[in-house]
Amino acid sequence: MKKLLTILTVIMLSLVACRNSFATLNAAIVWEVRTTGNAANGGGYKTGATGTDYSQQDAAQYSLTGVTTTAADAILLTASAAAVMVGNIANITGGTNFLTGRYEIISVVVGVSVTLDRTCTSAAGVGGTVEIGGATNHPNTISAVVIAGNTIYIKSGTYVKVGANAYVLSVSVAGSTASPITWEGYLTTRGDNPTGTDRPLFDGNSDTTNCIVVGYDKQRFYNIRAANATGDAFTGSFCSNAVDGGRFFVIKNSKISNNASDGMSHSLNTASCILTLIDSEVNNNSATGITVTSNNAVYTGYFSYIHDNSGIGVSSAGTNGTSIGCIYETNTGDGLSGIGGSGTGIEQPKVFNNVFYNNTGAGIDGLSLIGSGPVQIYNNSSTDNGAYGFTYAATQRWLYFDYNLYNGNGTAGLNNITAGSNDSTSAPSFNAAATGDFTASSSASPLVGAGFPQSVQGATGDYQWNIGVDQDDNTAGGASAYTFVGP
Amino acid sequence: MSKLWLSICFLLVFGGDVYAQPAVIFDDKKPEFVHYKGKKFLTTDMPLTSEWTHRKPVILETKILDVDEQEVVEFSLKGNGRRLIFNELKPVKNDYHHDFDRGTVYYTPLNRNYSFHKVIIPDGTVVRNSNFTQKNSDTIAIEGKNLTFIDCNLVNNAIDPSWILQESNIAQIKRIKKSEISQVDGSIKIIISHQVKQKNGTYLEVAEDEEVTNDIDSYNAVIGRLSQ
Repeated sequence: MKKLLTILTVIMLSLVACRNSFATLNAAIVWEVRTTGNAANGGGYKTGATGTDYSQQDAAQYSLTGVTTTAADAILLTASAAAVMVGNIANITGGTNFLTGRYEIISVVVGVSVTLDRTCTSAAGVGGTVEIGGATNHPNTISAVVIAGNTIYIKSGTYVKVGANAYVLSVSVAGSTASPITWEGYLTTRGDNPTGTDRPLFDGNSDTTNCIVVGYDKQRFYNIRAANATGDAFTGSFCSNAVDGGRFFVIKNSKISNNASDGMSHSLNTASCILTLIDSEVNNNSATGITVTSNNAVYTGYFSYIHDNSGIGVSSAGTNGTSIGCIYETNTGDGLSGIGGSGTGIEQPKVFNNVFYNNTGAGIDGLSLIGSGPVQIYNNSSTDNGAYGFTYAATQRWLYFDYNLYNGNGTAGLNNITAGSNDSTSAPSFNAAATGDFTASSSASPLVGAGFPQSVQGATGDYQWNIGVDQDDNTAGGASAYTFVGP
Repeated sequence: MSKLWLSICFLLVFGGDVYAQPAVIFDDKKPEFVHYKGKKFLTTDMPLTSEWTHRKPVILETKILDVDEQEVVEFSLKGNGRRLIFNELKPVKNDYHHDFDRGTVYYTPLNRNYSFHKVIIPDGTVVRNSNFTQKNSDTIAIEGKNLTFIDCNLVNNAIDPSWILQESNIAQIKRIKKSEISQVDGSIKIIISHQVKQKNGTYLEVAEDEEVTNDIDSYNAVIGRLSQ
């Protein structure tokens, strides 16, 4: 009778395993990376699972040895099996007939077995070694394992290339529209949105070709720094290998600096791709801050600071795009170049409330537009640039241009653009432009209250807008400046 | 005619924001000369691009400029219908040539971008968050001893052994054209060998990049950025 029960148990477990042979890791898995972790650790836990999350610790909670399976299946036989394991990632690191890699623990028979999300042996396994729990120590360790919908939390610290890699991180799995993949830095607690040097650093360390190589669609990078590569910080065809429509790539609250080539270089020519930069800094790169060579790609920049690059601040050859509330200053190329409208008028790039300042060189402009279609340009300040404050490659067509300020540009404020009736040609009187403070110095600044609109038709109240980024309601410069709260 | 020139100069003097332009006056009879504080300076038009020229004073390029010369050279770089260098920079010499050889300037903490400039920094200075990128590797561009660079871009600069470097990029790179491909849309795809200097002094190709000419980047602009 006892033998019969044992046989039945094994059969039942095998059936469960067969059911899961083709399963994959779950979209709800959250991964943990910290410099004090270990590459062999499990590194993740599924949100909402019934077990205990052991990923947010340096060491593995369980280091199993002598693990077996009865056949090619997903059931690890171990007397250490515990209910708290459920939801954790098990990293199989060795053993005869074991398929090494990371698996999700989906159920447990306490003291008997652990069932994984998919088959983990090619035949009966012997002497398996398994790490359960603990953070991994580098994002590249899991870059090929994650799936759409996963979030990878990366604790503050410095991450350099692993071994002979030519990159710090190579992204090799696509997200989906409903379930993008999110790489998010934190300082002490997940979600604490660190700033400055509290953000984790992807450090090219002067010997790594690129910091982050992205060849897969729908990635979001939040709260990180990418610096010191001998090539680009971010490179690749960002929206390749898409699994569905609506291709996009997002960077938020991040800093991209000191790279030996472009800050970001996107060369995809075959598919539409929206590159979104939010609340970020792109500076001191040895070539263009952000370059998008594809006619189909779209640059959208919001409340970001692009400065001191050895080339154009942002170069986008696409016929669409948006820049709102950004500062483009002291680049050796144009502040923002490209984003011309298409001739059909279907796409209408928008350039609102930006500052273009001190971008210098022969023929270097603050804002240089390409294309021949409609572009909406309101509330921008463009001063002290090499040639023109605002220039359009062709004679303007459907150009909506008004409430802008231009002054002190090398050649003229405007080229191929008719001045708006509400433009200003006064010096903007920034608070301290040389130190990066582009707030209005006082209520007397021509920036203050000079933007569009000053009223909303049919509504009551004070709707004053300023030209430029600072939307402080004309108190002293620098005080209570507008702060963007992103999604 | 003189009134016209004076009017132009007046506009130039009072039209700027940060850079307060000196009262440099063009000679209406001999336009190759400018006058400043009673001194006469010969100038010459130097082509920069197909569209732009630089009206450059004729002063020995190796000479450290005196105060008046500095004003005139600075005017030529910032105030004569051009802004060829950044607002806060003061020229040391009259050695500006083009966008990738912008001449020698004094260091100031009010400027963070020294790309393609040579710069004189007082010994012992701590420099933060600044960009000193040079076009060609091992360029001797920074003059100063016992400097500390924190979070700086020193790509293609010759590094002095007395300097302290923290979180800074000291890579030496070359970007060389390998080939080019004409595309059906009329653009040209330029294949570039991206090389990094190894510890033994040789350059190793670590990547092959592509740059495509478009409405922003002309063929000459792409080629102009490559190493010489």
